[in-house]
Amino acid sequence: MAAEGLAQSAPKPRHRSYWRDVWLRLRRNRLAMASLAYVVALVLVALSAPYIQRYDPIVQDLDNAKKPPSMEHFFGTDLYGRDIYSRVVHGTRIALIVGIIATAVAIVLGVMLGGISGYFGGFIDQLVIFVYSVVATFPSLLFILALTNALPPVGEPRLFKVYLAIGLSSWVGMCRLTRNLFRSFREQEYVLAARALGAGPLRIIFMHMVPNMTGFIVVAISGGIAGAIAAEAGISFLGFGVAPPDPSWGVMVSEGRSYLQANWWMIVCPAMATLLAVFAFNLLADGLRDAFDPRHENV
Amino acid sequence: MSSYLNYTIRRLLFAIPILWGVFTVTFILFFIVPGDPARLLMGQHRDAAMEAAMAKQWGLDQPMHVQYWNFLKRVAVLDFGQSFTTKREVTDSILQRLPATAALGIPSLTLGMFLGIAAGLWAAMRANKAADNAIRFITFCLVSVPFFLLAIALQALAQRWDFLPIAGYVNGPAGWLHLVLPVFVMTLGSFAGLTRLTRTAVLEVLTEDYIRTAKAKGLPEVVVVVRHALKNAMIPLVTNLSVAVAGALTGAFFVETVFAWPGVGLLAVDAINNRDFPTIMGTVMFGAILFVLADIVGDLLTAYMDPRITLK
Repeated sequence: MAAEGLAQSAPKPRHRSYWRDVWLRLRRNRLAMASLAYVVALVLVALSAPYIQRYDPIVQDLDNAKKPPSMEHFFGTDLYGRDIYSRVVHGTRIALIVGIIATAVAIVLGVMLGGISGYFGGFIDQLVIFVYSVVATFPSLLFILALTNALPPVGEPRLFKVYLAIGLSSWVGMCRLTRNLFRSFREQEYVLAARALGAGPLRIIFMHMVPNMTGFIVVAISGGIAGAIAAEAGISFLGFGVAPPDPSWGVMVSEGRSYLQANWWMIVCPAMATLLAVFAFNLLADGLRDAFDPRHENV
Repeated sequence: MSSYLNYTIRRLLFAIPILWGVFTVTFILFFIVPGDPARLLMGQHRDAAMEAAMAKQWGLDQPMHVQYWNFLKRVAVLDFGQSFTTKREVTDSILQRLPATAALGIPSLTLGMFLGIAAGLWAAMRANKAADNAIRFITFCLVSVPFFLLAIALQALAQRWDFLPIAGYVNGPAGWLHLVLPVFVMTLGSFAGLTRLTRTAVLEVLTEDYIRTAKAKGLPEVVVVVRHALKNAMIPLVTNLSVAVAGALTGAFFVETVFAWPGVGLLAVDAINNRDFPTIMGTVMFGAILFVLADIVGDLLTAYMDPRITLK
């Protein structure tokens, strides 16, 4: 009887999966959790933008131009009387879309090219090194601007080409990382085993090797979104990005810049939105890096 | 010494195909744009005869591959031809604007390097204590904040309290005050990156045996860190010289735009706005050559500082 009771109260051998470990480590990092909460809030705001905006973000109301923040207009109104709160809320959508498209392009391209080059080596490797050396040597901002000018206006959203340009200019880091990782993976037993079982190179690369770098990819997604949001804001500021009526944070900053002293809210609100979003994604990336690789912590 | 010379020559030769690649990409990006460049040049005042004359003057009436070849031959000797908009030699424009950009880039990279190494060392010595956390927080913010926002914010503060000139470039000794704000912004940029690099590198070196030996000899911590650890920790910094130069170059585009600073960065941004192809090509190649040279110098210095590395 007693023995049975003991056996029941003894802790069961707990099987903690890899992902659960990562989550537990991430949860200990308060800064990263706060960033994660902010990122989730951004996603919710972006999804519900049409319901929580209080005015149309594009329609002008010249009678109410340059109004300071008030109960009617939380963040004030801009030069054309548009409600800045509604524009910032709507801009969240643009920022997240930029981040997701640009990062997806950069990571898919980087992992594919880096994976193929690291796995096969030889001539293909030399070719990939040459291509990424050219892109790395190209002054990055000029590359994005020239690409933006050159790409035809494709698809919806209208500014898809800007997002594509940001992605096409930022895959080199991921490519290098994947290449270096794969050069060490390729000597490991599980790859040998897969090959001995008759798996082809594409199957080995994408089904066996890529899953082994999931941690790096998750970190790169978070950091990449931060970089893409900052890049879009910078490009819009230089006047190359989003066409003015669209409420992108970068466009709002550059529009508000001339009124900085008299109507501060026109620039401060979108600038803070940009800053907080970039900080949150970067902090989350740092936290994820520590969570995936505990040895890396505090170094 | 001869191995250094050999290495340099080989690296320079290897840079040629890369620069050729940059040239070709720029050429393609410009010529796949819909719209006839000669027509765009004319702007509002279109006139078929003048348009044809213009196209002839810049060789835009030739078949694509002839234009490509002609242009490649000239760019190979760093002759980019005349600007579409100002009709000046592009090489002259770049050389004329180089001092303004160098006046920002050289002091900010130098200052950023000294301050970054000092702050990184300090943070590593106080790892996970208050000073370290503060430095990590500040550099995290500086690395994350979009550069132009930082520049605009500082400019706004300077304007409000009127303590520094906020824009423009004045030649001669009277102009040094105009340098302060843009150099400060660019220094913050390179400082943040270099601090993080130094801290990581020093922390890594501090776990090595020879550091323990130095400590066991009873040397004070400052001597151990500065005399023993820093030497090896400098190596990743030097290797990343090209990254720092590339970062400064990107920073220069924004800083020069915000502070109306007539440097190479502003020239490039204007050229893209005006679709001024020769100037775009000139500034792109200028940036690419600078990057290649910084990369080679960085690798040479790395090999000089670290005898374990042999140049191949």
